[in-house]
Amino acid sequence: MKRNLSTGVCVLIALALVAFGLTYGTLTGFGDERAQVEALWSGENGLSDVLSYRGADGLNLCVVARRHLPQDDPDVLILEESAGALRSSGGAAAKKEADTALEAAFEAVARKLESSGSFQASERDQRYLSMLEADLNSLGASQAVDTYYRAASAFNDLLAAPLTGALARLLGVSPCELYE
Amino acid sequence: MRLKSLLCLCLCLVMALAGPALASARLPSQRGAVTDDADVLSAQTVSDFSSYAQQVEAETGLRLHVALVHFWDGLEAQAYTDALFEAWSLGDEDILLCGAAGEDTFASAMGESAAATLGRQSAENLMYTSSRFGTLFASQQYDAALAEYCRAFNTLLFKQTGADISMDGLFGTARATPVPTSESRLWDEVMDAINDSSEAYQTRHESRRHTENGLSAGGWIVLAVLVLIVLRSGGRRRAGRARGGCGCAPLGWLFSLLGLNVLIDTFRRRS
Repeated sequence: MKRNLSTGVCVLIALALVAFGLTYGTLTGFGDERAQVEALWSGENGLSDVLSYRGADGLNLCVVARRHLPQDDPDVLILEESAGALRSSGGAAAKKEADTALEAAFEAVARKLESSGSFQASERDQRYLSMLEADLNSLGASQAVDTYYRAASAFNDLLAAPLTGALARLLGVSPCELYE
Repeated sequence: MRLKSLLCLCLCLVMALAGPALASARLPSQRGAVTDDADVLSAQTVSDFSSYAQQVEAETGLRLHVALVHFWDGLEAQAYTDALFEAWSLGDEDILLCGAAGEDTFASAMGESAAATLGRQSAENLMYTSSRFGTLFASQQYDAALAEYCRAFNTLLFKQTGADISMDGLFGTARATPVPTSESRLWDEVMDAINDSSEAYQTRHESRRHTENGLSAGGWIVLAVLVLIVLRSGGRRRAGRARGGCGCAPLGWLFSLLGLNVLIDTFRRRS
């Protein structure tokens, strides 16, 4: 005696399977993509590390600057503060703001040092300044910045797609914070 | 007891908070007994120190290491030295003397066995009161500073272990105060690693884009089988040979094949 399910139940089962497939596929697919973008931010040698090293350059310049400028020099204090913010945990937008402040403060401290008599007499510290400037610039121009920006933008575009993107958003997948 | 627990909790919190900061300092990779990223030691001093470190290891089992960098990257000298000791996986018998030429500061770290043999305080005093190392290092006379440290270390070693290591012919020449080089191998290595990491992502991304663009060969086969099943099922109905049931049999095939495809894909990714 073969027992058949009613058409309604079969349709419901089919719909449930389709819903499961869509949810599972969307979550795993978008999850994988997001994990890759996050690795570009917080993974080893990711953008967060690059910014942290730029912060380190700022703090290293503070060491040099304190040999020639007053201990409470406002530009050195700003440099120290922005470097600290870059090295602390924070989002992309907060770090971008700190990085912009760091660059301006770094420039201000460098120019101040160049006009200091004791700095002009120190070949050692002049070398350190040029070394730190070069490192700060090369870190700023590193591929990590561009790669993260492109990956995060591509992910956000994917998330903005009408059907799959809308479903992912509905399932709680959030866009990546852009570094801009 | 409660105070101890509280202290442990505070220590854990401090370590957890210090973790990210330690991770953000650039640490050099080990290049033998002497790792001179600041390039402030003469070749002769490097060679003399390596010979001395070998003799110390042969006589006592203690391993001496020196690391010189330009800056501490925002860390305290001791925190940087401890991080380097850990990064180099140094052990019980190791002693690491670390200095930052651009900061005129230094610190040391040692394993438990080394500390027990030499006496932790006595070993730390080698940098300050037991030798002129600190004064010489701060005045950028790095060759002379290291020679002083080794002589004081040798005296302490003899006192504590009785090991009589001859330093004849070692550390005879000292380079005048060197001007730092404008380069850091460590920083270059870090920069290369950053760019390599980005390039690896781009390559991976590109290859994924090519392989996942459209249906794979397996996908096409599954699709063809599905289409055949649906068509045959429709053909049977038109020919009046439809079997009993609600007509959802093709759906069963469809989902099982789709599930199979997902499973195959999962195994492919894992391998």
